[in-house]
Amino acid sequence: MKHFTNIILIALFLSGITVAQNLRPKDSFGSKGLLKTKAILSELNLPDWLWAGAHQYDNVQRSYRLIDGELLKEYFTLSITGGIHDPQHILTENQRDQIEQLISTHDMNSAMPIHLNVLYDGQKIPFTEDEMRHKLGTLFKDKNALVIFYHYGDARGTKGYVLLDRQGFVDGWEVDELFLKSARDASIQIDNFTEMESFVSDFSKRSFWLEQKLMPPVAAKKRNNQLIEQKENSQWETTTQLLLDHKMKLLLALLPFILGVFYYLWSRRWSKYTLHCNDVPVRLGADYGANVSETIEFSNPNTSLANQYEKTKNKTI
Amino acid sequence: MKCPECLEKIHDHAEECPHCGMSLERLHSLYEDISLAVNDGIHDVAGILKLDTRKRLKAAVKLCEKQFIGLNLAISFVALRDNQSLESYGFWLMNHGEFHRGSVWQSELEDGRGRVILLVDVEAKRIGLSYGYYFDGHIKEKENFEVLSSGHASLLEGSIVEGCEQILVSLKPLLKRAITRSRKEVRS
Repeated sequence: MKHFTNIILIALFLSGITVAQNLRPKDSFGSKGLLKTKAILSELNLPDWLWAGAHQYDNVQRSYRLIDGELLKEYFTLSITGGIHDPQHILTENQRDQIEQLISTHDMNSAMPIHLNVLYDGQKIPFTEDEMRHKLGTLFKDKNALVIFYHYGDARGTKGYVLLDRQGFVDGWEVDELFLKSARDASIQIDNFTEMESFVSDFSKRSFWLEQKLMPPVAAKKRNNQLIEQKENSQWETTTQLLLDHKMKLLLALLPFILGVFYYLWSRRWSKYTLHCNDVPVRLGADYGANVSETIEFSNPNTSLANQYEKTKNKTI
Repeated sequence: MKCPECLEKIHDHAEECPHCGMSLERLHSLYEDISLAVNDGIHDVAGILKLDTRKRLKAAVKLCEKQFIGLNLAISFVALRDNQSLESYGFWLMNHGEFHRGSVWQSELEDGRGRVILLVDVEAKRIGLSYGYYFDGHIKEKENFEVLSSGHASLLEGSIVEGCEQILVSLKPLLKRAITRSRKEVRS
């Protein structure tokens, strides 16, 4: 019965397809169909940037949603060592790991670490350009940084800044190209995450060219070493801070152990053992003692201790 | 309890050994010629110790005594004749020894029942331990054997001082255990 029902359903599905194909007008097939499609598209008022190079598109008017309050603060408390910053948890754990992998690979080879901030498509940080630069300038004072504000789902909405230690913000066509070309290439992808992955990957590759232009190799290497040192220092500081913040808990956790060690040492080394003055029977006319242990001899090396041990078994002095 | 002469079992209150008739009085003729002065825990009638080794052993005795209140530890080096035995000599010295600390004669100040004497017969090459009444029933022969055997290798090599030092080191845990047992017995 079950098989029969399945067969009926498959038959109905196939006949439906056949009917639908037959209902299509004849000019929808082959070269006629292609011409028809072009005609339809030409009637639509699509923006130029859809067809032209990525860097040629005009600013499209969008309905922004502003970020404010605590969330806004989150975006401007970046760590100095680079990485991904996703306070809204837009990415899944797995996606985040993959992007972090790309960024850490970049940071290992580059003197300019990537700071990638992830926002939803259509979100906007409510700062003017000057305010933004002031904030970032304070945050990355005397440091190299490639700061990206990436709108997840729309690579073309990406905005970014390049900071070079004492020089501050770097502007120019090279920087524009770096962001725009990476965004354009990434936007070809359909899937949002693949688009982001593509953007970060391309951006990383292109940034090396920019880095070579901005910094001589020796300076870059030196900078890289400094960054590694800074990273190690910051890790140590974090650990120290954590321990300092939880001093009491740490002490309580270690207290039984410390007391145990103290008791052990006390009982083994420092405690005094007092002989108990029991009333003991006096025998053989001796006032102080009448106990002498079994003796062992050490005259002959061939007389083993094992033989001498036999006579001492199960006896008490 | 056993007789220190014939090593047979005797009653706790026996005034003389029912097997061999031994009592402290009868040993007097055997050991009367042996000097009984024990200075700072060292009794060297065999005359084997030099000045430096004597100092070393005194320090070892002092270190061992430090953790015990009421303990009076000594080492005796003696060369016994054929008719004498280490067991009866230990018994004799335990009760007739004149223990000094520096120039102070301790025998009347301290309770001699807390004495422990390490006995070394350098002639017959035998070694043993003599215990005061406070250790009655709290020390097992097996444990005592382990203590004595800790210095056996050095003694076989002829390093008597090193052997004694090793024995004193391993004697401490034995005395601690004996005192703990005694304490438990008093509580129960």
